[in-house]
Amino acid sequence: MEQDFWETVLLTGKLAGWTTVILFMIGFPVAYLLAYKQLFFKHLVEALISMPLVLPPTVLGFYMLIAYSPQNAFGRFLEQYFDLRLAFSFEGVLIASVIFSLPFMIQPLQNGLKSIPCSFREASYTLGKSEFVTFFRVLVPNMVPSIITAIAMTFAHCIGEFGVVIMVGGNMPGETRVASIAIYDEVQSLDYATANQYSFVLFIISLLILTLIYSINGKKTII
Amino acid sequence: MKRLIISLVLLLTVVNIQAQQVNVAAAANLRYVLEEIKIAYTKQHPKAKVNLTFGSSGTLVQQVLNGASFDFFMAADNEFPVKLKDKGITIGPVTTYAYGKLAIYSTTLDVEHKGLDALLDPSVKKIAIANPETAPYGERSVELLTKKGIYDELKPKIVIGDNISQAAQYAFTGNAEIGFIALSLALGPDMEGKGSCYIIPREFYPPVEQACILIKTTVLNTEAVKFRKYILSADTRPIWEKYGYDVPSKK
Repeated sequence: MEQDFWETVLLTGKLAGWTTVILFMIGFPVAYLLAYKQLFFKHLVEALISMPLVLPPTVLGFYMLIAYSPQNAFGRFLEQYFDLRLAFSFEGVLIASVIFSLPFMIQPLQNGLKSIPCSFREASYTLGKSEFVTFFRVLVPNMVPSIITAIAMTFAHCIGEFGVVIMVGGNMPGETRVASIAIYDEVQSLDYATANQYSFVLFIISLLILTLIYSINGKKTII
Repeated sequence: MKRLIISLVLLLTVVNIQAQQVNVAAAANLRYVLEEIKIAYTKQHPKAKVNLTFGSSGTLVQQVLNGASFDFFMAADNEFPVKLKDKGITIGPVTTYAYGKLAIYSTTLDVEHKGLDALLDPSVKKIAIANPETAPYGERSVELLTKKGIYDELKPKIVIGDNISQAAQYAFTGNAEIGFIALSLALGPDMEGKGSCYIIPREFYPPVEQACILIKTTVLNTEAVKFRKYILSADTRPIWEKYGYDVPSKK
C-alpha cells in the first residue's frame, strides 16, 4: 500500500511537472505574441486558449478518446509511424493535461507582459538592444511575480486534474493513476483511510502552492 | 404572502404523494435490459415514474451508504446487496433476479472464433476490464485470467474501466483491442453487429449471480415494491433472455 501510495503521488508530480515545463516553453512565446503583436485572429486565439476554463473536461476527454482510437486517422497514423498508442498512456494524459492547462499558464504571462510600461521596451530599443535581448534583460526581470504565478497555477491545476484523466486514462498504476483518480477509486471501494491519505497530501500541497502565490503577489512592487 | 407559502407547501406535498417515483440504482451491465423493462413496466403502469441510475455495484453501494436517495438496488452479484443488508439500511431479502454471462468483445479481432486465444494475439495491445474492486464482472474477468495462468503475462496490457460500460466503451471505440464485458451489453443496440463477441463458457468462471434488494426509506415506497415484484415476475423473463441472461427457474 505504502509503495502504491508514493508511486501515485510521484506520478501526479511527474504529470504536473512535465505539463508545466512544456506549457512554459509554449506559453511564453504565445503570451508574448498576444501581448505585443497585432495578430489577425487574436480574439479567436484568446478565446480558444480560455476554453478550458468554461468547457467541461469531459468534452475534451470525449474528443481525445475518439482521436486516440486506432480506428481513426490520427490514432492510426501514430500507431503506424511511431508505434504509439495515446489512450491509457502517460503521454496521452500529458497531452490532454497540456491542452487543459493552457489558460493557467498563458493568461498570467500575458497580463504580466502587458503590465510592464511600454517606455521600458522603448528605452531598451532606443539604446540599440534587440527584441530578444530586451525580452530577457528587461521584460523577464520585471515580471517575476507573474512568471511564478503562471508556473504555480499551472502546476496546481494539473494536480487537480480529474475529468480528462478518468476518461482517457484507464486507471493504470504508474501510468495514468494519478492521485485524484486514486481518491475516487478508494472512495468507491470504501477504503476511506487511503482516500483520506491522498486527499490530505493534495490538500497540503495545493494550500502551500496557493499561499506561495499570494505571498509573492502581495509583495509585488514593480517600478 | 403567508397563505401563498402554505398553499405552495401543500401543493408540493400533494404532487409528491401523487407521483411517487422509484429511484433504481442498477449495475452497469443492466443498461439496456432495464431500459426495456422500464418501457414495458410503464406501459402497464402509465403513472409510474422509474428513474434508472447506472454505475458499478461498488460505486452504487458507496452512494447508498452516503445517503443517496435510492429505493431499489440491483447489483451485478449477490455480495454487494449483502453489504447493504449488513448495515441495516435495507428491507426484505436479498433476491437473485438473473444470472449474467461474461463475454469478450473486439472490433478488430475475430474473437468469436479464436476464443480466449485471441487475448494472446500479438496485435492486442490493450485489454479493457471493469474495475475488479467495484465491478463483479471485472472481478470475474481477473479471476478467469488468473485461473488460466495468463494474468501476469497480460497485466501490463490491462486497462481498468470505472464500470463495465466504460470497459465496453474502451473496446467499442477501439482504444482497447479486446474488452471483458457483460454479454448483455454486446447484445445491446449500440454494440451488436459492430464487432465480434465470444461468450466465455460456463465452466471457466463461477456464475454471475445478480441479486437485488429494497432500500429503507422514511416512508415505504410502494412503487418500489411493485417494481421489484415486476422485475421478479415471469413477465420480464423474455426480456432478460433476449439480453442473454438466465433467469432463476423457481418462478
